[in-house]
Amino acid sequence: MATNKRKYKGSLTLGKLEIALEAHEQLFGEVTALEAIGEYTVATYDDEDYPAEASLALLPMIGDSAPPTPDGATHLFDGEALALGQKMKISAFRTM
Amino acid sequence: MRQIIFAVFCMVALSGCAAVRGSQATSAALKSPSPISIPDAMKAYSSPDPASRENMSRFDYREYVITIRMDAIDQEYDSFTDQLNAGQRGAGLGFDLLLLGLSGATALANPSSVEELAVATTVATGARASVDKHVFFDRAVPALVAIMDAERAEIKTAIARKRGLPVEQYSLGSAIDDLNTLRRAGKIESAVGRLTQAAQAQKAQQEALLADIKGVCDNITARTGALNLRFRKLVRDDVPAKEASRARLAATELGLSFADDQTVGFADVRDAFDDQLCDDNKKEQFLDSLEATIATTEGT
Repeated sequence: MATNKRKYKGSLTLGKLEIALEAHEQLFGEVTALEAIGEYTVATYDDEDYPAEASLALLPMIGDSAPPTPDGATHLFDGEALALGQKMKISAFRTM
Repeated sequence: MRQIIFAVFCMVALSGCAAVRGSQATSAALKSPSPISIPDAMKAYSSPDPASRENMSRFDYREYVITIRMDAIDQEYDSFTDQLNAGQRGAGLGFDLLLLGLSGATALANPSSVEELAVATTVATGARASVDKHVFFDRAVPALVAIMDAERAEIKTAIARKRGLPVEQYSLGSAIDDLNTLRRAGKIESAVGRLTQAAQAQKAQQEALLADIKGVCDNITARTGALNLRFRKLVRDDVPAKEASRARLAATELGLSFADDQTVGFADVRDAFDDQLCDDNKKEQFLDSLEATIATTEGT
């Protein structure tokens, strides 16, 4: 098991960030944490597991609460991300 | 731009502009219950005649002066912060300068401890023409008062410790220096300065942290994920027993070199694959080439 970190520009949209994270999950393993540091979103990956392709969903949190889990999805973790330069609390879900 | 704003703030703050009085009254204006001025107190303290000190020892006289001066400073500080918390401009707060200073401070970083302040500053600067200054006072001033309170508490603790020392080790002159430091700690400009320092330190810490983390390519698409998956399957998943040899072939194609006795795996080549091949078409060409090389090498 090895963890790996990558930083993503905070100017990305939430959708673009999600696509980038999904792409890197196929190389570095499952994303396990998201932090907003400076002008970047920093993702931590764990290669113990490689999830199915394009199976990540990021949703903005409602205040400090995770949004309702989409049907058939599993809540992974809550974290922070920068989307279009704005820091936001997000919830990550696995959709399949 | 941030540096310019910050530099302007520093220059104005350091110039001692008379229009800005974001602090309690000056020492001379303190409503001290003591009829003794600092020069008179120093003269009496230094005098060989105890009668000039109302027959008190130098130690007792030092304590007497410290007590009344500190009480006066505290009273003025309480009055000042009460005014600030009530949002009265009569407190002498240089609103425009403070806003400028806070913009510089909060633009440097966004530490959670000053998040409220950053929000308030953004609100205030974003709606400069119609800003409701009460929003600023309601949300930013408590944070600045907390900073001033913390600094004053540190200084008062240090003074309290020194008060047990004999006059040979802690003279009235030194005590007055400490009291002046205590008074200065009640200035809102110094609170902004501390906030700026904290923001700069936090930014430096963040930059150091980020410097150790790799960035990613700009053009990541949904296709990138499929290509990454193809690379992982080719090197690692399709024939696990051949991961080492396939990773070596991939390493060669990527220009990586490893010692002959080193065990190489997918984890050793994935970073280079991701870093070097930012374009999806280049990734695809690389994978086609690697597949051909593997087929040739393995004789399949």
